[in-house]
Amino acid sequence: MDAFFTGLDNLLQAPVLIAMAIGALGGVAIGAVPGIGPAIAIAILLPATVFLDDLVSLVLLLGVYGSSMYGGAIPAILINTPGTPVNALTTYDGFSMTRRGEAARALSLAYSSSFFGGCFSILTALVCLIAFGPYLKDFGALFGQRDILMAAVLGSVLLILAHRRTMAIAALLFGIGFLISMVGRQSTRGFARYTFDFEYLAAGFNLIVVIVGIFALSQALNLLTGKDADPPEARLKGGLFRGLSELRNYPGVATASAAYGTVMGIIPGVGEFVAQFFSYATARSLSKNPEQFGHGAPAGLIASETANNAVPAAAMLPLLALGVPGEALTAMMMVVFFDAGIKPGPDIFEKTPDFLFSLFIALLCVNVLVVAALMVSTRAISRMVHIPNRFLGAFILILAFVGVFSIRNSFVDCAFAAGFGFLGFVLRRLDWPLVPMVLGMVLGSIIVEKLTAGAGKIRDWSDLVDRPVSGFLAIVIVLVILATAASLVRERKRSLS
Amino acid sequence: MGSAVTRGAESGFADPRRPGNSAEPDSKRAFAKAGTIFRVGAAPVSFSTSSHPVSEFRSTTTPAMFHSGARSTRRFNVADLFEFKRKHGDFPFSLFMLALVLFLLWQFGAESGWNERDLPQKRVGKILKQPWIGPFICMCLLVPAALFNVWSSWRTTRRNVRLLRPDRTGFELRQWLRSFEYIAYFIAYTALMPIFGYLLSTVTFAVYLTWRLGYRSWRWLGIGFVSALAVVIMFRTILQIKTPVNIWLYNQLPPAMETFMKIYF
Repeated sequence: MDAFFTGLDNLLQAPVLIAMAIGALGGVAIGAVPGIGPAIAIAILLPATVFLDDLVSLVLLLGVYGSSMYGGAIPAILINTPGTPVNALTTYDGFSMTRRGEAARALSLAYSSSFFGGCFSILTALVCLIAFGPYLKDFGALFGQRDILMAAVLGSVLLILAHRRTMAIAALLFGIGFLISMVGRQSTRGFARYTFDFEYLAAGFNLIVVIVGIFALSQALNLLTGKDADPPEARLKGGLFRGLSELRNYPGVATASAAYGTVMGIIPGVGEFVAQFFSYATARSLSKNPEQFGHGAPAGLIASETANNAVPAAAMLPLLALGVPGEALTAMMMVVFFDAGIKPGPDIFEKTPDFLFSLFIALLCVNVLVVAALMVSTRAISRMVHIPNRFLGAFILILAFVGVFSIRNSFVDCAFAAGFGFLGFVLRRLDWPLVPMVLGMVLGSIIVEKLTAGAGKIRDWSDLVDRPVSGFLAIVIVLVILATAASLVRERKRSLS
Repeated sequence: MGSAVTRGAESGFADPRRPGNSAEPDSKRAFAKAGTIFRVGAAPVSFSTSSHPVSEFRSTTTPAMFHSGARSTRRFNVADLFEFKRKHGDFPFSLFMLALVLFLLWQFGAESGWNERDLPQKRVGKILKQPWIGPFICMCLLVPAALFNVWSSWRTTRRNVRLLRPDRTGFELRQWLRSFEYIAYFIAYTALMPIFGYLLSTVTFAVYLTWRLGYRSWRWLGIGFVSALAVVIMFRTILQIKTPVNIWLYNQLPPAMETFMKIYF
């Protein structure tokens, strides 16, 4: 409990509280504007965090991460356009409710469900930290270099397999990201890999340059070359407070969805979409009127929004516990950890447990702050959907410049970011996923780092899996691959018959 | 129930005696092109053989027996969440990616340290420390993935050709090229920044881009100007991010203002 109160004390400083408020409210606004999204906002903010205190930076980014999905529900419900990609399922029932004249009820339910999902996963994490804290100190001893290596390999395998329809593309982009992380002088022998005698590349690619290019600049180009949307006027009538009491009518759906979100958030590479799928399917099977799903069923809306918001807190767990990010946003946050000199991994439970508590308490506060703000400001925020897309694109271009240039005042960085921006733009146009490339960079460097660090204890190949944890993870990897292969074969047979 | 899915032409909606519909395959093609599929109920579809022009092709089914085969847009479908369709331009880009991967593979020996490899080793650990091991893992993933992706994209392209779908690859490639205009602006903005300073470049760039995008009223130009100023204030003044300043311009200002502008703008 000491760590809990120290963590709370860390948060009670003016800069941290201001960062929390800016992150939370900014995240809602960013989520409410279709076309921006938390990944772009975090990519742009990343370089600025170098100039801020570690906790302030992380609280700011967590604020954006934890609140953007609340904002994303607003255009999804009012104008049938998801603010962030993970709000797509919300449009199914949310917009149908709006067409029935129940926009305020839908929004209120969405906020309440999001709040429940967010709090459920955060409180689960906090309870686990308090209950198992003393034992988690020994957790670090269980995890050696080879165990974390296997965890990173498992994360990579899950990430590729999760892109079920685009597995080859995900593997290709993951490999490209992996290779990008290999560019530059190697640490042990100093060999310059894939630099083609270009001096700039000797230091390797900066992760922020790639992230800003792939996420922010590509979206700017996408908006600039596209057309302005003309969203219809959405009128909001009625109060927004009744959702909290209405949510009590759906305890099973809300709890199951929050549990799915929490579990799926913990598994690297899976994330919100799979959590939503399971939640929605469960809600439909629990419902007495399954035919209403997709036509404005409140339970469908609750399932989708609860599962979404349970993911962010849970997704922090593999990052903090193993140092293995499971998705793009947590991968970006890893940059802040590295800048702060904090190495996420099993040792964090022993060395800085108060820091962990600070992060989860901050996320909890963000949820409370966002719901309170949304109850009174939804009408104002809903007007943001009318900002023209191309105008937004121009300003993302300007903001992306600051993001890249401020790293080391380098024109070459900006040129490379523009190159990655073009690549990301083409990938977006083709509907190819962007996340595997960024995670390939992060997980690839972890795999090679751990392979090199653990090499001293490896006499033959079986030594890679001779520890209990690494052996268990290796079995999980094999089982996951076999299960996916079997399911693909079944699917193929079904389509042929 | 024995329900059957049939094309509109076969269920009596097309009159083959009309000009252009005289041959059955033509009328089938016309409806296939329109893509209209009707689900026919339990009653079989029959064609009258009488010589009366109206009754000749009248179906015995009533309109109520027809249900559109089109899926309800608001019905939940798991596949929608993971749906992926290869778009126009996918094949040339897949080919480009394969070419890139093959180029990297060709350079693997010289650029990864493979040519200076130290094999065989008694301890596997000594192999794992060598610089080529990371790129080697990448190549093991990249080469089969790129080949499979090209094959998959080629199959889709062939299917599209077979189904006479319009090919918009040229249009897509032009869209990609269109983005170069904005990349050029971005590069120019970055290159001119050290000369004109962050404040002047950002405001000019924002206002120009607003004008270029077609928001040419004074109101929009004003919004562009104010937004650019807000960006500068947020990053330069509040967050104190180090960006180039226009020393020459600020030197022309009164001393007190000069220092203020150099620090905050």
